[in-house]
Amino acid sequence: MAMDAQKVKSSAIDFACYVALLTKSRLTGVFLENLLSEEIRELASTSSNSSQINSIEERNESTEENIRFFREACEKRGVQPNIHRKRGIPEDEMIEESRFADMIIVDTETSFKKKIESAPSGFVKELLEKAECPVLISPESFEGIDEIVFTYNGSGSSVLAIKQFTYLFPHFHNKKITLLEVNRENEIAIRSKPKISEWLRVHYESINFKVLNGIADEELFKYFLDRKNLLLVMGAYGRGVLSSLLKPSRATLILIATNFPIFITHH
Amino acid sequence: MKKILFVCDGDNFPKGAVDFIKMINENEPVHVKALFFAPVDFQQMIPVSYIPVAEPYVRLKESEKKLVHKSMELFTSLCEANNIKYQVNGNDEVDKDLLIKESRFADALVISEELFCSDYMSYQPNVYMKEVLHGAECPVVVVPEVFARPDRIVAAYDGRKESMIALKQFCYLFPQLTELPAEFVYIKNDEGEDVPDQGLLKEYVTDHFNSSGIAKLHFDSNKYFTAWAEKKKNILLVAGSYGRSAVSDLFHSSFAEQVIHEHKMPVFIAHHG
Repeated sequence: MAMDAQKVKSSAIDFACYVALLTKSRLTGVFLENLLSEEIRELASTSSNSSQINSIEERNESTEENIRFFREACEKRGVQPNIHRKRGIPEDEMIEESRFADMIIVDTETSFKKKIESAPSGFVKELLEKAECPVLISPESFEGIDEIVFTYNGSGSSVLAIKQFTYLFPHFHNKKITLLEVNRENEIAIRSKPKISEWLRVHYESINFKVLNGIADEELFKYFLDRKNLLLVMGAYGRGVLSSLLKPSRATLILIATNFPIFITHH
Repeated sequence: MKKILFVCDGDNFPKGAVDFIKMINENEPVHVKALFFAPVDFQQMIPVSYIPVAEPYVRLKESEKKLVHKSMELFTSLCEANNIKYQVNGNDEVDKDLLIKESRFADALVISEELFCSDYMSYQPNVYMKEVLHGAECPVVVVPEVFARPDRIVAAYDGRKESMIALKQFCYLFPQLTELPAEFVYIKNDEGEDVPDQGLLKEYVTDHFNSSGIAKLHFDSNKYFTAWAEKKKNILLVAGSYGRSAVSDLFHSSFAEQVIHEHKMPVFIAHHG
């Protein structure tokens, strides 16, 4: 789980603990501090030495407070916590961690910039593009999962995302599954449907098919807006048809207007 | 449940592959999709118009059909005897594109180290096997015909992301095998003792394997790996990066190829994840 050491969100920890319990995993809290940019910033500022030391000490204290909070929150829920404190460039630190992790859980607003960024932040976008394991974006509030929506466009990477999700969450085999086919205009619906449904049937019990044509914003929103308790799975971030789902404008709207976890892979 | 692809060309029936599937099925039921192909033969590459009489060609086709039929029967009887869920598909000659497409919609592909398309060339890995290893969109398990149940896992680690991708895929697909003792070897012929990112690797493997060790082997992997591994008996090798980019060139002389060639142990290869 990737966190800004200064700003820890308890709703995100709640969700991460739910996932850790479900998958019987240890939860590693990666507390990212980005001291490098801070130093540069502070060198440039005109503040005196003593106040600099103070602010560094303050930050250190609040980081330690957040680590304590995380550890307690995990233990209360019966999750085994693990702490990594990282002081380098957050993006690089997280990508190194991702090589040795099964999944990263992150809040869309996690940001290390001074100015306020719209979700998903630059940090989250970079993570989505470069992480070497799937990324699960935590929702603002979470009540449970009743339905899993797989976005599918026939490509290898959309199948890979579905497979990765299935391997990481084998417990969802009896949930309602929807294969949401996202087509460009007038394309033939459900390419290789027999094959993907053959695979899905081996892994899941209840499968529905749904086609959206032309990825019109309106249609997409109609589909997602009134939904609750679902989990969205998508592949190929930054490439192909599905990436347009995550184009800044559209993604922001989806992420703000909707409130469900999103599982993304890009290999 | 996992969906596993089984491939047989002509009468090159991969007995070792069936044994491997049997072992997996004991812990977690699998669904096997078996693809049967006509034998690879050169006769068919000659355009039909070159053959003045059709009869020899027709006869050849008939005998090929019989071979494939025999393999199919053997497969279904083995599956039924061992309580393995299966479906059978008959096809023409081995078609790489079809195989790759099927692999996209499967969890693993199991083939024979010795027999895969060996009518074409018995020196393994032959062209067909290499193409499948490069193109497959799911992990491939290459199993020798004399298959002994592994009692130890050895994973080749090189510090690059490909070796971790293979390791993760292995853990997801065959969680039951993570109960075996596992050894993670970093092979580099130099003086140092350092294993890249050892701390992070250790964290990952202690979370996923019951008992594990990380070791650095100071030798030329191409020359000595199989000799080293043979002493351990009954191991299953996990290797990454049968890749497509720069890594694939490296693999040309890689030790995984050597291991497959010597038919001594099953090899799990994955390059996606």
